[in-house]
Amino acid sequence: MFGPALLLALYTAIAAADGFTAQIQIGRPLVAGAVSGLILGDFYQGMIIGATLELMWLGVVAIGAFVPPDALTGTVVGTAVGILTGQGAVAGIAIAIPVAVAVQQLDIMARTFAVFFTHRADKAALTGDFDKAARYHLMNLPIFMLTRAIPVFLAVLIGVEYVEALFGAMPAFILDGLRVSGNILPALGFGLLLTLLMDKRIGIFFLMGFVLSAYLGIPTMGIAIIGVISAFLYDRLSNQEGRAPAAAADEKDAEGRYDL
Amino acid sequence: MSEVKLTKKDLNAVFWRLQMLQSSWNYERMQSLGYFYSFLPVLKKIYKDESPEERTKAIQRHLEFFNTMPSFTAPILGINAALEEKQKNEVGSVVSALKVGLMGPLAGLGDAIIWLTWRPICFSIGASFLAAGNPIGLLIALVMFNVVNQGIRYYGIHMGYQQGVKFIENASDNRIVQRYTTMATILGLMIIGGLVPQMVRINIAYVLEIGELQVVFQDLLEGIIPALLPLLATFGVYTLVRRGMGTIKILFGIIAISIILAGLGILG
Repeated sequence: MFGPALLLALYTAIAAADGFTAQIQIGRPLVAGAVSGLILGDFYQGMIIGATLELMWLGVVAIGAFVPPDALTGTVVGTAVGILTGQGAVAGIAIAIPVAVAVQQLDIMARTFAVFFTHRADKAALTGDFDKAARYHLMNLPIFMLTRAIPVFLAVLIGVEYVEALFGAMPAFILDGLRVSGNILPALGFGLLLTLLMDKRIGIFFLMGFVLSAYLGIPTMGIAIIGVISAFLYDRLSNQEGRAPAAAADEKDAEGRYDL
Repeated sequence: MSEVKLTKKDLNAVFWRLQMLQSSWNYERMQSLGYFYSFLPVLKKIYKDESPEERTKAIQRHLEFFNTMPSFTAPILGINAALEEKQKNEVGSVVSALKVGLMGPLAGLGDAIIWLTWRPICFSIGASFLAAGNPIGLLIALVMFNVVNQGIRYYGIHMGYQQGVKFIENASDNRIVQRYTTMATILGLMIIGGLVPQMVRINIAYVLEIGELQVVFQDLLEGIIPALLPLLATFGVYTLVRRGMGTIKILFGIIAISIILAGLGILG
């Protein structure tokens, strides 16, 4: 297990660095699940676990000074557990959540510690040496990387067999319940995202997407295309120049009722 | 005073260094050192022949507290470059005020457009492919996201430099940003709506038997409105979050209810 644990930790370190730098998003659950699956020889299972966790964490976002649960480590450990114990997505999701919350605490500590380097840069500033002051900027990055990579390494190396034993000892009805909840959990991500996106005037488009999918079975890409068309039409119609003010007020009233 | 002229190459160097913005993010001054690090090529060129005292002033100004949505730091860097190119430390207080004045509104805008709308759109489309076993979703999500996000970084620096504060004023003045945000939100809402029936699955296992007659509740519900339960579950979460319940609580609530209902044979 040493080799795969090391590879997973290496990937985690790189993806964690991305989160603090270019943010090309190679640490999102969708990518983390697939990469972990690839490393552990079950790409398909990795994609499934990654997609489920991605949807669950869709609305969890670092804004301002808020540090969210670390979806990256949660997904890597969750996928590893799901694949290595043979329990699949059920175990993966159940493990991903506590891991993400634990690493969130480590992250908060690392972000507190990082102030040390800014103070060193303050000192260097007094000499007027640009390069010397700038040098301190990258020094905390390895700490951010290690606060993710080490938990992943240890969890995969040591933790998996305990989890395997744990799931082996679990009564069947709890495993059933976990499987059921795994299918419901994307609703958490969608609901959370809705609270951020929902707006009286345009809330009805949520139902439109639902109907297109539930009744007509249109896949997501198709709905996205219809969504782009709808957005353009809405923009055209609501930004027409020289519209009578009375008509505008009427329309607002009618739309106001769609308070979802 | 010798005239220093910034080139496209200098601004591109800022673009590349901006990629490292949050490497020293901390609770005291957040992105401050990262801002200085990104701005370094400009500072080095402008203050090349200045005394160490002048340089210290320039460094200290850019080590002040700073935090905004990373990609939207780009236009601030661009505007900042244009200002210091002309007047160096004499515009110091203007630059500080500008940074503080812009970082708040741009953070709100950037969070709303990129983190809360565009990224969920890209990655939920990607997830729908991966959930069906098709890895092309990875490419779709990453390319869609980065074309927009890196585009903002690159053009933000150059446009900010060329047009100055006018750039941001123009953008917010004729409500273009507002309109694009609304359009992206419509797209996001439709995609989420479409994903609910595909990704949330709630199956009623309970079958009522009256003599010969079997009542399969799942089929009954599907006959009325397909995916009604997933829709209700999503609205349920939405309502609870809006009432201020924490997501971890809701999460464990869902798991607990699932275990109980599966144990009773109602869900399966």
